Amino acid sequence: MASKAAVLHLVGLGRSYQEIGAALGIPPGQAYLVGTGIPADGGGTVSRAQRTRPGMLPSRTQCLVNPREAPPPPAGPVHEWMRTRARRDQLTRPGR
Amino acid sequence: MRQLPIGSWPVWRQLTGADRTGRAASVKSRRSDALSARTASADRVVKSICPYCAVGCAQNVYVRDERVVQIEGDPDSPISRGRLCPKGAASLQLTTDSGRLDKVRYRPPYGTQWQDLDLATAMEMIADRVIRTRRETWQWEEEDGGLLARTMGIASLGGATLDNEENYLIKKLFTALGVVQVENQARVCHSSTVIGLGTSFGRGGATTFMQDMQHADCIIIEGSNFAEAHPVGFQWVLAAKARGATVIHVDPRFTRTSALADLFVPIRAGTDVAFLGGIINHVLTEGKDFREYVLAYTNAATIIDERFQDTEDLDGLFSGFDPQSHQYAEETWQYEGVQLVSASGERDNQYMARQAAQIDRPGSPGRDAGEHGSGEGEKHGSGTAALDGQARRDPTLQDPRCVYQILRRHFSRYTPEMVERICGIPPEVFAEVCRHLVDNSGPERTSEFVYAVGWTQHTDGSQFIRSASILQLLLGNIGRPGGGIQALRGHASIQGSTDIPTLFNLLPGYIPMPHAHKAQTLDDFILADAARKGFWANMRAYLVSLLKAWWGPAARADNDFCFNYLPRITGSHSHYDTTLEQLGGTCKGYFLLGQNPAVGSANSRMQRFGMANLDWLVVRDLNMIESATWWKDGPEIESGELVTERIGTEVFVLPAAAHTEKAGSFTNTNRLLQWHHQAVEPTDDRRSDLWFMYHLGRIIRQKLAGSTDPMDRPILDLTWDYPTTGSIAEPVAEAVLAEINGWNSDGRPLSTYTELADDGSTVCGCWIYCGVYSDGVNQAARRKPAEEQSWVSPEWAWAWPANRRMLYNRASARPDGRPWSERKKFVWWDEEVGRWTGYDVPDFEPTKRPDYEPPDGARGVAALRGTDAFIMQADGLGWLYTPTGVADGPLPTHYEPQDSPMDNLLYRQQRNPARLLRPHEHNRYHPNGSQRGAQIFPYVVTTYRLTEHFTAGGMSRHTPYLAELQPEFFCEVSPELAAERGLVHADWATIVTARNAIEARVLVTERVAPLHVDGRIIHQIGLPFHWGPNGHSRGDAANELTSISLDPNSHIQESKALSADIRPGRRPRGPDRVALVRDYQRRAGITERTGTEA
Amino acid sequence: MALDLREATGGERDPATAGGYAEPPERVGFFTDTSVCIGCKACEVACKEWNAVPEDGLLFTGMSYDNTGSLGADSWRHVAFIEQPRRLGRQETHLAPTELPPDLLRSAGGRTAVSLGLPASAPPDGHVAAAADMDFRWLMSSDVCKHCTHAACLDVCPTGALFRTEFGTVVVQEDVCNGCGYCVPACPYGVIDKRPSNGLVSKCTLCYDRLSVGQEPACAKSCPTDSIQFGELAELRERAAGRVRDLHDAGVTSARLYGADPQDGVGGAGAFFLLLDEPEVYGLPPDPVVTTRDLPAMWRRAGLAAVGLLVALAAVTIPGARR
Repeated sequence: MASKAAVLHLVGLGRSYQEIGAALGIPPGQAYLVGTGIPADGGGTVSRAQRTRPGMLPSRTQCLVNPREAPPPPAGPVHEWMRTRARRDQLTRPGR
Repeated sequence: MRQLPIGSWPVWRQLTGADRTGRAASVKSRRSDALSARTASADRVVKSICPYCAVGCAQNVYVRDERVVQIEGDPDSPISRGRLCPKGAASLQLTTDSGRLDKVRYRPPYGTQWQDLDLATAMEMIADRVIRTRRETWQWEEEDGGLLARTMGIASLGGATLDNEENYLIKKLFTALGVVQVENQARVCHSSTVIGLGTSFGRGGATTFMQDMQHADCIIIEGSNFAEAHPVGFQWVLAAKARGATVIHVDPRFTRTSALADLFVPIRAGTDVAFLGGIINHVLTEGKDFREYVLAYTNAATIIDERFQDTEDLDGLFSGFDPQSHQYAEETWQYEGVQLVSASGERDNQYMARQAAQIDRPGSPGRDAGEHGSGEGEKHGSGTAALDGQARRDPTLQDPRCVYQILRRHFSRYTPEMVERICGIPPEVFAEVCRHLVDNSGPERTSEFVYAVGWTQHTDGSQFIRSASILQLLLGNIGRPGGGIQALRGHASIQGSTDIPTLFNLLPGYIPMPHAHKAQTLDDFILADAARKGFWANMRAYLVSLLKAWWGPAARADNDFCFNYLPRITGSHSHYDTTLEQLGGTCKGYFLLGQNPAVGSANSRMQRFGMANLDWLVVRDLNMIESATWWKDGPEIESGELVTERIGTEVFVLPAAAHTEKAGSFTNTNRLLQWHHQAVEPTDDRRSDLWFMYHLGRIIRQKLAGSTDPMDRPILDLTWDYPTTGSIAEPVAEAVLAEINGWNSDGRPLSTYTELADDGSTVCGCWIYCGVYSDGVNQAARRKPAEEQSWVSPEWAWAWPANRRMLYNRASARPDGRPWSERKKFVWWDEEVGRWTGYDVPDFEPTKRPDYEPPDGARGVAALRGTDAFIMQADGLGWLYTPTGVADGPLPTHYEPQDSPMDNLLYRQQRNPARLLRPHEHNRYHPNGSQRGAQIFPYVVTTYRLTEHFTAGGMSRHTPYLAELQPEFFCEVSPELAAERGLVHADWATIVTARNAIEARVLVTERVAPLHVDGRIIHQIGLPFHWGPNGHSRGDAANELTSISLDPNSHIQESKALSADIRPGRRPRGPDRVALVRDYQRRAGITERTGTEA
Repeated sequence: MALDLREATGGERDPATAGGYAEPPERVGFFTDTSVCIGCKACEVACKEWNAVPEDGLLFTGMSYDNTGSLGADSWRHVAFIEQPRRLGRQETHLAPTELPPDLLRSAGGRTAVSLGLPASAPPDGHVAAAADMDFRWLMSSDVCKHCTHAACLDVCPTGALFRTEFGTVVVQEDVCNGCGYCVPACPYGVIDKRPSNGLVSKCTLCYDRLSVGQEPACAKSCPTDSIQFGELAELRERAAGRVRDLHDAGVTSARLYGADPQDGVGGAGAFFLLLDEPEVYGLPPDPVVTTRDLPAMWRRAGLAAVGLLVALAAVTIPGARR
């Protein structure tokens, strides 16, 4: 548990929310919520006035909560397959 | 002391700590201390898109131990901002509930119970049946030698809930097998949109995007229940309202949308053309049109052929009507002096005449089987017909034959008094709507129309949309911020299943399916359709690239790139025609891919009778839908009309994978392609439709390998070698996307459709999607948060065409390129850099000057002027008057619905003269208006949606969290109707038409008001259409009551306005139900001819 | 056994600090703006999904679109629907046609056309009628546990199952609850209830587990129109006051706040509302008072009475005390 003042104090020292969370013994997302009053998964409902608060992050705050985002499958095999298809389809060279 | 056990006791902590009252810190348990959210403790989060409606809300899918543990909104989305409606919020239960199908179910012919069957065997059996039925029903040629190369023995239905990649494989495989009857929900839902918007503006989809709605000064929601059917999208209406916009809702019922509107206007269902026509008349009479816009960007000044005659001349008909075939010839509608290359080409004209003469041949599916029945108008999904020559124009708009004057005359009798008499809307209310709309249009202000199936699902549905298109062009709202027309489509990827498409009459990118001819080369086909002006001039390139994508090395210049591998259509093969083919015994095999016609299609009874005539049926779905179980316990089993042991239909039910179990793209209602990644593998027998189609194709090709029969060449030569992955060999969806996007001879993905060539050097599965995989990057998977880009959010996903979010945005600037106003600037010409610039990708050539005039003889894109804001139109203009492309008239005209208790007060012609009817013993129509027997069905019924359910119920009635919110089928009636008919609130009522009788709980509410219509009181009954006998929440299907009567352009059914009777009490059971309906038919004097006259 | 509440809460101190948390976060809660509620019930579903609350009955109530009925052990969010013969600000519904036959009106119980008293806009032919309409509105509101400042359920809980969190919310700890049910009649709103399945009580937790990782409650996140707003209570109260002013300016004079006043009978609610009519219309008590408010006074009087009784007894029994 931490107070707003405690979080903002560490924000003022330039700490990241990961660091703040570790220091205060709370998850980084909770630190964000406590420090700013805005949930880390709040989305676009943040008003302009709220954006200027101390401790606000401009975007992607959901990363403070979420586990790692599953990486998309590598595109390499698809690119290779396209090249194979182009050869096999016997695409003509462009007329120009 | 905390180290000792007593240290943790609440009592100790209370006595020694700061919480003396023992109500807070001292009593917090260890478990509470250790609480964490399963979102944070999951193994990974996967980015996805909601599978329900077409708003396309982004979802976060949380996975732990290879199971989905939570699904909630993704706050990065510029469209949804992290929100989900009740259905989207129920995605976890939808995808993980124990009631989902997990094993193949099999019913042998004449069987009474389901049996087990392993998936591999099922696939082999299905492949065998496809091959067998295809062989038995193959048609090489017509009697006169026209090429057919097809089978009418197999049909497929479904696609709007599936990914674009799945729709692509479905269309590709079935087309190569010669199956032409490929359809999906788009047919019954928004097919009218393709014609209505496509012929007016050049592309058949919503003209704007959801977030832009916040800039509207006035929003009219009509033919839509926005807040209920697209709740998350509705936040943008409220954003506009918060900025001072006026919100108007026009609807037969006061709904959850109306509750938040500023003005609600009750209207008689089916009379919107009269209402909108009245507004058009007001605008023209008062001279309130945005004159500069109208002159520059519409065909208001174009002179029409002197042979044209309007409905004012012919009492409800246009010139060119053939009462035998019930079709119009478009010749007299043309621009004067312009040879319009007919939509179907010269040879097709001869073909049309032949078909028309054979209408009454036995076995033909009834009237209107000719060309105009074949959905020609739908190819205007992207670009209208070719114009040969320059049309004459009168910029003073005085010439009596100019479009502007024709328009004035056509709508001259649509006065406020007439609107009151037809629609039941008092003149002062009508005047208010006009005032709000007119006051909020012009250079400084814009208004937006929002519509959905309340407009599309009519026998003249395309014309409803045309009416709004005319109005918005006159008021200068198209292509402008806060303006435009928002067509709200209803399924996750129904736009995609129209673009790709799984529709009988189109190839991907709105290229028309070829018709049967004796000898038609690729060039003949192109000539028939390609425009001389504009981007559609490159149709050859689009088609050749598609053929190369499908037939690879076999497609060469010397064989017309396998153009003759494409099966030919010979008229209408739409969903409802397929139903008739099934009843007639021609169509023997049927695939249902995530669609439930026994509940969702008009005349559900007829759907079931049709399926009872099949040899085999394959159903793929998440849950056990009614279309899979009708043989066991459907209404006809209950009535005894069908006996299970005598139904020979073999039924395979294959469990489908959920959206979390596969990767792919959905195209939302604003043409935005959004990728959803696979979160977990599907378990048990569940498979994606990508897997199903790919392996079905693979197995069929294996079985046919080595065949020398020419009918097998298309399927054997088909390129069908997608990479697969994982233990179940799931095809890599991104590879399919890459093929849709296309590549060049180096195998490098293309970036824009202007790179497509007609010499076989490029491949492209769908030219309007070209660019979605540019640079080898899945553009549809981009998820740059809304906060990191402009409000247009161009880097979130990818929209067609070319990632433009607002279409026709050239019109947001004056002819000279400056914005109409500072307040409404969107795209404008930057003279310094010589480019169009602004908030969105310009829907225009980036460097074409606003004052550009084409040289004589210019062709293609070079023939477009600097002021041609509607670049896909043959003349670059918005069409107030459509000289071609709309089968039932160049201008919208008020007609009564097929079944209506009212006469048409405007014309002698009562109903749409060109509407398509399918008379059948199971599809009887009602007498109308003042016809004898009409009083037997005196009430107007309209069907509608509830927020808590989804379409035919397969994704909501089986989901407990949704089922409990609206647990029973009910009807909404006014207290006045309840008093008249003795209906008791919360008790039961029976509603009857000539098709069937259903029962519903009664909800008496003042939200439905009796209307004063031409001196009569008209009562309306509201019926939500979600129910069927399966699932947690069960009830009768509203579509038991609807008939098959279709719009001639789109073949969409009229489910939004019909007539019926209502009486208190539950309906009869078993054979008595049928007897009740027969009794009604008898009392109303209904015969096979009723309703089929004009 | 409750001590004097006013002492315990120290008048102005927030409930978390009063509850012995050292340096707790700011108090959070809900502001539910019913003027933008579209009655979609996303809140009901999102809540059940997150908290694995079971489906609790397929029951067609006939109460407009409300088939949930009320808050309960298995319904922690409940959307009410009220169809009323009243006007909402300047909204025009036009549900009354200008002419209905009197016998039809009579038999149906009368929907009455009401003249707006204003001349209508003149249509082109110059015919000016008096604009008529019907007074009608459809109110929708999502109800939830109020997380009161003075929470009676909390006061009467003998086991400490109900407790005040550091966020100022009131939460049931299911690992502690013994199902005694004292809290059920204590709640002035009828929110908390016992689950038939396991005999324990359950109610909204303001998604305590989500707060602990910095996420907003599931209902607030899901709400399509942002009717349910989550945040620091002080900020929400300010925002709500502004919203009421805006609505009054727009002619919606019936807008008012419910549960926002720290001086009210529960000390102000952690979940307060903007309503468009009297609370009773929504099924809410008009003047809720924490049911344990009078307990300290009652105990004092009981104590006095006991002392008095003892004195009297002594007077009667001690020899010499009485002549």
